[in-house]
Amino acid sequence: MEARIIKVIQNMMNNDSDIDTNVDLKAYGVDSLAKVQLLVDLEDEFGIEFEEDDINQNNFSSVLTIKETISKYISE
Amino acid sequence: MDNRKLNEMLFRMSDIYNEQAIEFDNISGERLFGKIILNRIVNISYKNLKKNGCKKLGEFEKPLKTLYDENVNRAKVCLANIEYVCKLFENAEFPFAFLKGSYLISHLYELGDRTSNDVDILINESNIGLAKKILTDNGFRQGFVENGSFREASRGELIMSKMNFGETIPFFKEVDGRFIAVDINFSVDYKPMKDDSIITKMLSRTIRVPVGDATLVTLGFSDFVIYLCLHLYKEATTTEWVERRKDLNLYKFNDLYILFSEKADKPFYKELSETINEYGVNRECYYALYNATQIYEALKNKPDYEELLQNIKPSDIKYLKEIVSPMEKKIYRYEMDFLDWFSSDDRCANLIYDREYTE
Repeated sequence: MEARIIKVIQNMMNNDSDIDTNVDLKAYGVDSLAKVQLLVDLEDEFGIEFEEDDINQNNFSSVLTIKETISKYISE
Repeated sequence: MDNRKLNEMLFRMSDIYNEQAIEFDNISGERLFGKIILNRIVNISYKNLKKNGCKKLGEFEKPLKTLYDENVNRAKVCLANIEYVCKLFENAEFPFAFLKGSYLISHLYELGDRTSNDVDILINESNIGLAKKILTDNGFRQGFVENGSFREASRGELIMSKMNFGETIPFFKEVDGRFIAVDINFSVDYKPMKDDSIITKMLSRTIRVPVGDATLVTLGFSDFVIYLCLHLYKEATTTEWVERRKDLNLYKFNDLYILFSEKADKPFYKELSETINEYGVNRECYYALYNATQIYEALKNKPDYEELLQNIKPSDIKYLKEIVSPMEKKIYRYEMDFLDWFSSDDRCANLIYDREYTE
């Protein structure tokens, strides 16, 4: 799942640089506006729709927090 | 007549306790008319002009009276909407409270003196799904009403609003050709919340009052006033609202002025002061309550009010003239006094970049 999440981020940012799963995505240029697109792309990639309760900056701050959030909807 | 004098006149017209004559003429009338509408004080102003023997309404009489009657009708619709939404939430199994206009229209103002575009409800963020279910099960959909038609919100808009503004897109339902709008609030500062302990406390001490055949659950008086202050502060000091000229509407100060004039007693002042300090919302509340005294000087004559201001006054009050841009993460400031700022026709032109900030 981590690899798929990283691929979504790289595609969105149009950049293939390595992404540390534990590092805040701001460090890779994913600002609060870009995160909106990221969520839409993640929903498309995983075929899910995030509940409003889950849509907040904390749940999408790093690859690891995104993985935890997505794990609520699908199992690996 | 300069803008500041014009606004002093506007303040008097919006003051339901005003006993002074208001010199309304065609020249000031032309400039005041738009301000009366934008500040949502048409009905109070109309009554004030009539009460104080103003004979010069002339050409303004008919349009003012038309707007006055329309606001009375709108208030009746608002009351019906509030009662309807109250009934939808009667069996909700999570804490909630109706905010702002729902209580003010039904329990404080005369019919038409205060209207509202929507029904605001406060909940914990963790209960958004449950609140959404109540509304969607009853025919509400999330989106926007544009030119009288409903447009469903896109997935991106829903995420954007929730993620970056701590708000949900409003819920609408069309009934008899009119739209009932419900706004779900789960943040006291309208930013995505990391800690909603203040909301949990507020929702643990709600009160219940009747509205028609329904029961309105709303915040306790201190929390209600604090919420108004937080809301006022946020909109008054955010660039997005300044740009849309929705930052400083007089009706928001009027809410505080009338609430303090009608409902505040000594125990309330003590409780309010303690609660503001407990929540740590001194900056926001001081901003709203202090600036209310700039507009409605009668508040300065209330010793308990003055004492309250002293009890909650932050040590540094430079922030009073600061405007925040959450999107740019920048803070701007203005250098004129508050009343000149309020009176300015182009507030954005008076903003000076001050610094960047990080959350």
